[in-house]
Amino acid sequence: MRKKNYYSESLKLFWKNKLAVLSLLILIVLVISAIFAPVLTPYDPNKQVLADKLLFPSSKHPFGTDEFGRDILTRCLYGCRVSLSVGIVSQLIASVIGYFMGVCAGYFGKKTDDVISFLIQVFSSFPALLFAMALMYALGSGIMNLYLTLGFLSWANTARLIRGTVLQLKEQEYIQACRIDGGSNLRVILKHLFPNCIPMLIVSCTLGIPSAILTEASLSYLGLGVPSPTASWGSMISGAQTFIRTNTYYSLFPGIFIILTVIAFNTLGDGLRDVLDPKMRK
Amino acid sequence: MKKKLMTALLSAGVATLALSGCGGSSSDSANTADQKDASTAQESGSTAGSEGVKKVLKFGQANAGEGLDMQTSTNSRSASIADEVTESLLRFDDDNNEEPVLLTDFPTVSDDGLVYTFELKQGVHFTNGTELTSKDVKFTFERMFNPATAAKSTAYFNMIKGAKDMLDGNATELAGFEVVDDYHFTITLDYAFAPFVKNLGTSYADIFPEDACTEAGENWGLGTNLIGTGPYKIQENDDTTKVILVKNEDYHGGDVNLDELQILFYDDDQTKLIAYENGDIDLADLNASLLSQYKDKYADEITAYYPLGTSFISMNLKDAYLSDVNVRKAISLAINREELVDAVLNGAGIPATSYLNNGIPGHDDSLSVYEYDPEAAKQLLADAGYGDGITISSEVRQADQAVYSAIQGYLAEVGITLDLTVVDNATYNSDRTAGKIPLTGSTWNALYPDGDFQMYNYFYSSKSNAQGVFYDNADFDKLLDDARKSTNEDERADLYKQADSILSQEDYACIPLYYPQSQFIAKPYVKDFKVGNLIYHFWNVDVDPSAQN
Repeated sequence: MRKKNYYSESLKLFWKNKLAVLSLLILIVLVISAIFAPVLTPYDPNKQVLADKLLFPSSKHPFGTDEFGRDILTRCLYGCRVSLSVGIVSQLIASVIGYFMGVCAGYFGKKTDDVISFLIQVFSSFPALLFAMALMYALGSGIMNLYLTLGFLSWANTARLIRGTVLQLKEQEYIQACRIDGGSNLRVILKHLFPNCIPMLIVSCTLGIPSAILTEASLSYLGLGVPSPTASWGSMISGAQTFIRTNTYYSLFPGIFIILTVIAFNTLGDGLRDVLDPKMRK
Repeated sequence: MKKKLMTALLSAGVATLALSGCGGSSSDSANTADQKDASTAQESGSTAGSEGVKKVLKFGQANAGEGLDMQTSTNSRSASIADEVTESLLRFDDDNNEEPVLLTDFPTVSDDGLVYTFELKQGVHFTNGTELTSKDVKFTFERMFNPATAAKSTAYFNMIKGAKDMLDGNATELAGFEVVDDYHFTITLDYAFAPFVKNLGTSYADIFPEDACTEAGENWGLGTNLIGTGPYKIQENDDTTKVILVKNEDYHGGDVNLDELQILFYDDDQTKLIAYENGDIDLADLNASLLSQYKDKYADEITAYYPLGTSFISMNLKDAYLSDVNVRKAISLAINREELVDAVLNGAGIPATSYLNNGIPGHDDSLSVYEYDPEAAKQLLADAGYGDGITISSEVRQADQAVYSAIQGYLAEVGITLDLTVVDNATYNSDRTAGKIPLTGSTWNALYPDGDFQMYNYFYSSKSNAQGVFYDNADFDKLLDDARKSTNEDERADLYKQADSILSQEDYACIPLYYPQSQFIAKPYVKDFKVGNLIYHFWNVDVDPSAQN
């Protein structure tokens, strides 16, 4: 029952944080518009109408059109799908890998810890974008490869956090009791350690999403992200670059979407950490 | 919390800035073919510099990074510098007409088309003071065929008797080259080859001084190690940021107008044009993709010209779908070339009517632009059994990205999904020549107006394999063979016209898109500057120093 109290108390605290709530609202709006993009806009994001190229914003095209006559608002909305799904899926992958690596390192200690800690060090000292570029180049562009690359790239941070937590937890009496009682390692890891790590995972996941989104945008900008003609904010900015002097709005809109999403996730992540981490509670 | 928000805002902002800042578009050094020609010097009897004001012109371009030795570089940007310093026996002026430079006249050829006889101009000196003689010419060709040189363009000259033996390492002397005396020599070919004299007019056949070139060894073409008979000599060259050329006071063709020509390297097009706007350079080449940004503001300073090239869809004809001529024809029908050139290239091109560029003899002027009819394309695909749609994968260079994104859009309309990957130039070249790319973009430029140059090395059966095309049509091959042997230019043009018809109207072995336009941007005080075919020449250009700051 204590668990329930903990979460409902956290929720209460969370509602008091106006910025975090606002961020959550923004993200909900973004998610809804990504899901319902086909209903929200009459245009096909990839339909080329060269006769309508580079139109300035108007009532027909609120954000104008790009160099192939495609509606920029529509492409921004469809770009949402790529960015949000890449952010969320890659962080779920990172959480799964990170949790198991972290738990193994923290719980088993000794040689296992040495090896995993070494891997964590290696992965976190590598420049992320370079590593991502190399992986994407080897795997080829595509949304599945983006999920895998970015997930594979960001597990180290989660693993480090989990390892630290587990190191503390495993000395707790109830863990000791379970082990003395003959509980298997797997039982300890799944039944007792996992619930205690959930808040940590939520926070690291939420804070990992914006950096994954930015990396995705960078990769797409460099032409290594989603293949054309799929809309992605990064590839839109890349396409807009040539027209930055004559059609400034074109690069502006996807840029605003990136900034908004990244800030919202960061603020939400901060808010969640404030309420979920007992040490951070004021 | 406020502080956190600021941090988040800042980091997101910085990230976005970083995103839009990098990248860039140093893309247009991408010309597939070895482009270059040599060119004009009407030896305008120079009265320049009489006012005592030093005339300096600053030209901005990307660094080819291949040195200035035109035996080992095939880059038109190298040639734009090398052609000011070194000269070939003959050259092409900016109207693409060939003229003798180091020769008293065009060489004479024997009746069987095998033996060419040359007479050198007397009293021509290299800028190191030594006189040009037949032995320098012999040395130049022997250096070219010496395997240690690793010359890249031997294919244009290896019909000289004995060339292949040298290339194979079986001989150290060129059997087909006979020195008669200091000013006379003959060259014997293995077989009659009509474009031979034209190939001698390209920068690949630039004549080097034996002593200086031998002394420089591997460093020939680097730093100031390039000495020729041309109107300029190298004063300073760091190979990375700039080359400074000064007038050759003893030039055998009369003085040029400029006292000094600075070539400054800008690898990023946008940076180069900002330098132009700031007045750091007086002249620069202008990529078509940037035309929309500059064409209104600098309309009076931009000059367009048409190199002898064709941009076309190059296909692997062994691909499961593309081996079917109906699929290739359907692709052609699906593309609106006029709209493509207008909307994507900002009008910088002429929609293609056939493969041969419209400046090359043999181009069929009676043809109109390829038909745009998406319904007919769909019907063709349906008849061929592909009514449910097909997917074709494609790799293109960054320079071609915009055009091929538009083509992707056109093809989507008729049920062809184009999987488009953008790759770097090196990957493109290796994948394409290995036949790994089913469909890609290519631009093939001729160094001079001759059908052989534009067709033979890309589509002749034995050559097309190396281009990853795998085109094999005996009738087409025979037409090209006949045209090589004939010395009658009208007859040759007619043969190329027939060959082009088979290639691009019947077989659709390639899908011609447009004849690209190139352009340069020059300050109003730059006078008489003209470009004929990709390579920039500074032999007639003048500047008005009083208007220059």
